[in-house]
Amino acid sequence: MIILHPDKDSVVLWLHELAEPLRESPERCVQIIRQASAEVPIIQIHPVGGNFTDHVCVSLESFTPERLRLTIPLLPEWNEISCRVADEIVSAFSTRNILVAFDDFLFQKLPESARKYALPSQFQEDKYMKHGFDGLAHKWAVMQNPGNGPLITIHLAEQTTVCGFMDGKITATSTGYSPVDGLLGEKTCGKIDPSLAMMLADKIGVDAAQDLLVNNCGWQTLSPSLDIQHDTLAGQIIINELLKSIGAMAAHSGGLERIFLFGENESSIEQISVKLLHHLSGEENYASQVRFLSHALPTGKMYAELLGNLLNNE
Amino acid sequence: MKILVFNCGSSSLNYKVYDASQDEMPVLMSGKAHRVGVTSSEAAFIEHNIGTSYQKDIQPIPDHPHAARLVLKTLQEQGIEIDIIGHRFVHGGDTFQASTWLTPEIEPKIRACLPLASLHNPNSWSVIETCREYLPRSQQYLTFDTAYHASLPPAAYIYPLPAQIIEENGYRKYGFHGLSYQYVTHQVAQALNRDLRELNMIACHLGTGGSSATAIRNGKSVDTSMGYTPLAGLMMSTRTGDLDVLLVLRLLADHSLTPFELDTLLNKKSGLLGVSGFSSDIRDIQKYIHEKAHAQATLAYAMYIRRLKETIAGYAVLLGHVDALIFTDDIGAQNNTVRQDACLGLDWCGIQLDISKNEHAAGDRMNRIDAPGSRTAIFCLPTDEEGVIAREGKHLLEGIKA
Repeated sequence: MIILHPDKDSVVLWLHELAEPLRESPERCVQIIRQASAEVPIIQIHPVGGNFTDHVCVSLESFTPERLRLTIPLLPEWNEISCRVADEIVSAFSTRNILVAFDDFLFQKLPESARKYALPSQFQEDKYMKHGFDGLAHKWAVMQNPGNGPLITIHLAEQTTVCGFMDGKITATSTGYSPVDGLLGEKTCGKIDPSLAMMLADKIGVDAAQDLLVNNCGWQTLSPSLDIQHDTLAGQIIINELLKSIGAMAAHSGGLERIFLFGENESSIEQISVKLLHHLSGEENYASQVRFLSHALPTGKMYAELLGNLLNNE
Repeated sequence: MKILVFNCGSSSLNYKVYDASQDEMPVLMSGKAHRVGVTSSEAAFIEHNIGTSYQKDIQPIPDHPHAARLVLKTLQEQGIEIDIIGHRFVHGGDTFQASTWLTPEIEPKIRACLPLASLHNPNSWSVIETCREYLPRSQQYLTFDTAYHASLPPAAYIYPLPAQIIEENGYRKYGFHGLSYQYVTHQVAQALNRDLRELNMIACHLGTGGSSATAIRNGKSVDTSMGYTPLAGLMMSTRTGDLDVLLVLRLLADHSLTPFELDTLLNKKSGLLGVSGFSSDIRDIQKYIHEKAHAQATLAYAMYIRRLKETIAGYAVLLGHVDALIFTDDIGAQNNTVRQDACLGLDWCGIQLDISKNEHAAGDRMNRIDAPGSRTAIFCLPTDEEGVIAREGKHLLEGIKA
């Protein structure tokens, strides 16, 4: 299985589920895929499908690149490159089975009150809503944790995301309109006072402000490394934001019973688990009975497991 | 010794006169100018409570200095001589972490804070100048809303932005409604007969203008929902609250808005008003839901409650355990439905509301409204920012005498 995950300015490409991913342009991806066996299925992860799709995974034969392009206005910076990838791949490999998996599909089931920002009605269009991100990863996480009751899933990655589930159904997410909203990332600012975006745009222009908030903020500006163990400022902020997110998710999931942390970096998972456990323990703490579960695995493997499963069901 | 306290809102001016010669500092006179600087079909007016009498004057009130002049004229007519004048100053930036006398040395630093809260600080300053003109012999002092949050730890107030940008612009989380939090937390500690310094609390200041929530550990603010400005955090009457920063930039670009136009959109036309499409008053919205099953009203209310509940639960987990949950200001003290809906389903973090006590709670006094067995005591009470300002003034005077 070849998996392509378009990011804002490049494509993350897994040629093998356990291999390190490549970061390439859409054109270079095509050249690389040509060298792979023609039998290998190609799956492209599309950031935001919105209401244009009613399946998490569809064949590009039925859901054509033209239709995919209709999703561009939902999040131009991310969806545009994804559509370019689809164009390149379809024109290069027209006879191959190509599937598109929508990373926001999981969040379509959230109530409207969870998906809207408090803007006037003329700005309540689909393109300005909380699309949600990292849905495929959290779908994988919930599949690893069958059973009823509240579940909170935390995907520790460059951009950490948190979701809440009740009886396997999504109830809340930390993610928003773009991948920048929510917890701070390695380079992204996360949720900050929205006035600051206006002030920065006024000072340096909209494009420069966007570049700054997407590429030059985040925990890298605070500490040379996250180093949760030694309480760096970045580490403290991440832990505080995680605790608040856990509470926010639990508010809609009926409580705190199971917390599942997953991601590539085993050491980060362990350090964060230890810190969270420390905060959530103690006789008086409501969360002292919560069960912590974790799983470290390569992202490519996670996607391959999930998408393989979806592929078999399609 | 008489203290006049002014509390400027964006379109209102509250005042109270205290007799500081008595320990309990009784209020001799109070009032409020409504719809200051607002152009609409509804008329502006000023009301005065003088002893047991009530006076209401309907007249144009074009700005805050005009409102202040009306107050000072009424005081003169009543023969009340003012010794010192206290002002609520919303945003004191990094400079002011305690109440201060207005002196020539302080004045430039106060002026430097004016842009930090464009809806409030310039109004307060204009009232200060009016008082200086009309009562030149009365000393003035300022009490800062942001000072209460001086205890925020770096992990709560530092934004993950490049250091140079932070240094050049002073961007950090300040937090607001500090005077209100100071008042209600002391009141609740007294009611629990506990030392404030050993209490963990979540306080929700839910106003008809701004709303915020604060996590309090051992009596001190450790996190709060508003940020560098009062736009961040909870959904409010006309403010969005939290919003993806990239969406802010997209709105600017898609609609060719100037930052000023977008600022107006996000601060004055969004929130409950924007989503419902007809009112910023949560009571109107609840009425439309009840009587008409109005879809946009239902959505606006659901969003308001969802954000509030997420914030309370987030702070509960951050604090580990919560001794008291407090609701205050107009919505917090008076709207039992909001309190009930915000607490619904939070039993897991020790918050259990007594439905009957909550329903019968009086909006003009403190009520304890938690259910038997609730691990968290729940209170609703009106706030008294002017009272805090008056007491700060008395402390400043005592400092001089000492």
